[in-house]
Amino acid sequence: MSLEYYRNLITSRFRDVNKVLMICSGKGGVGKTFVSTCLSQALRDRGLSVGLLDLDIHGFTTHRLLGLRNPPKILEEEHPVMVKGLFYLSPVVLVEERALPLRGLYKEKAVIDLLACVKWPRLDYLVIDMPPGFGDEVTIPMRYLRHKSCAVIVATRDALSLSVVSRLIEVLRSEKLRVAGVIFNFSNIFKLDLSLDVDVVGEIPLIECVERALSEGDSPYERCIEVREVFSKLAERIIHRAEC
Amino acid sequence: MHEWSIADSIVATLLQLVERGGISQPIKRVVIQVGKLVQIEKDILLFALRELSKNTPLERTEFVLKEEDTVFRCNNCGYTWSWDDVVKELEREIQDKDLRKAYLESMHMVPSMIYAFNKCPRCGSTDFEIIKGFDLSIEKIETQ
Repeated sequence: MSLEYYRNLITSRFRDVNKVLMICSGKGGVGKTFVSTCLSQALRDRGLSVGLLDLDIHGFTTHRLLGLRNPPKILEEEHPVMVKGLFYLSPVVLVEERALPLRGLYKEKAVIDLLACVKWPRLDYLVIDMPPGFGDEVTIPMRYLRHKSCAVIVATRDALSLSVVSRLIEVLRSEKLRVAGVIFNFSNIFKLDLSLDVDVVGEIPLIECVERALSEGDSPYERCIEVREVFSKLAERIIHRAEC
Repeated sequence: MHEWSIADSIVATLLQLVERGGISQPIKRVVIQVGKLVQIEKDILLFALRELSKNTPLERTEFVLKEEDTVFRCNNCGYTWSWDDVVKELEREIQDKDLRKAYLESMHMVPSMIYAFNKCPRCGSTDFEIIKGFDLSIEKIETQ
């Protein structure tokens, strides 16, 4: 179908969403999904109506970071599922833990269909856990949702991550996507002081409890008070900056 | 069951074409081709198209749905198979009817999810193409 057809469909699906927060990273393994899920929970705990969409088609793990041991298996009547006070959609709801070996056109179409398949209710924020990099999975949501979106970049202060982040910022700017700022993860380990052309929203140290929570199938946000404290502050700053 | 949403977007897209002058004559017939993989309820989609066209320039437009078989080709060994083979394999592999229904519903909502449930029946590879019947498309718009 045409670009216009999908634009109409996706626009109607996101009509009641006030703001989309696209959580992006240039590289994998920097903690993007950790930030997406904890930020969603922190926004929810401020009394806001929040959705979480996992678009990391090959590496979807938001359900694990939410501590969902048995994720819902079916979408009912084109609505996202409700888990832990969040409106939620992830490939895990559609295919469980099966691998999704998608390539090229099929990957592009999967992202479009994930954007188009449910009607999001009235939300203050929809947090999208984007895949790493800036391929189709990243440019497609920008194409359809840029008018109500802000990017939040997750990075680590090391030379490799920062060089890729610079390129990501270049792409986000050329696509006219507003950038709320960058969150530096593992800030007590990676400390390279290189300036980026975006504001720093906050820093997250390596919190010991996180790994333990994950290995036992729990949500780090629910289990670790340090995580909740860090994300409570980050949520406040994001709310302020996302209104840019 | 997202036929109404699909119909809504088809009608909106056609009306935009008319409003923007892309089509100057009234639209007599629209032929929509849909792959079996999408598992559209044809009657519901046609009903929705007719309902949503009422009191618009598409009120007299005839909508025609053409279902096309979905055919897969393995990039590893060249074998081809069809949507019916996929359904049979699912019936064989998954005994739980509700779970099978949930998987089919997943592919209805997001057809690319077929990649989680399908593999070449001959060599087992997941590196396959969908050579026809992947999507839903407007095949033809006929004006008066």
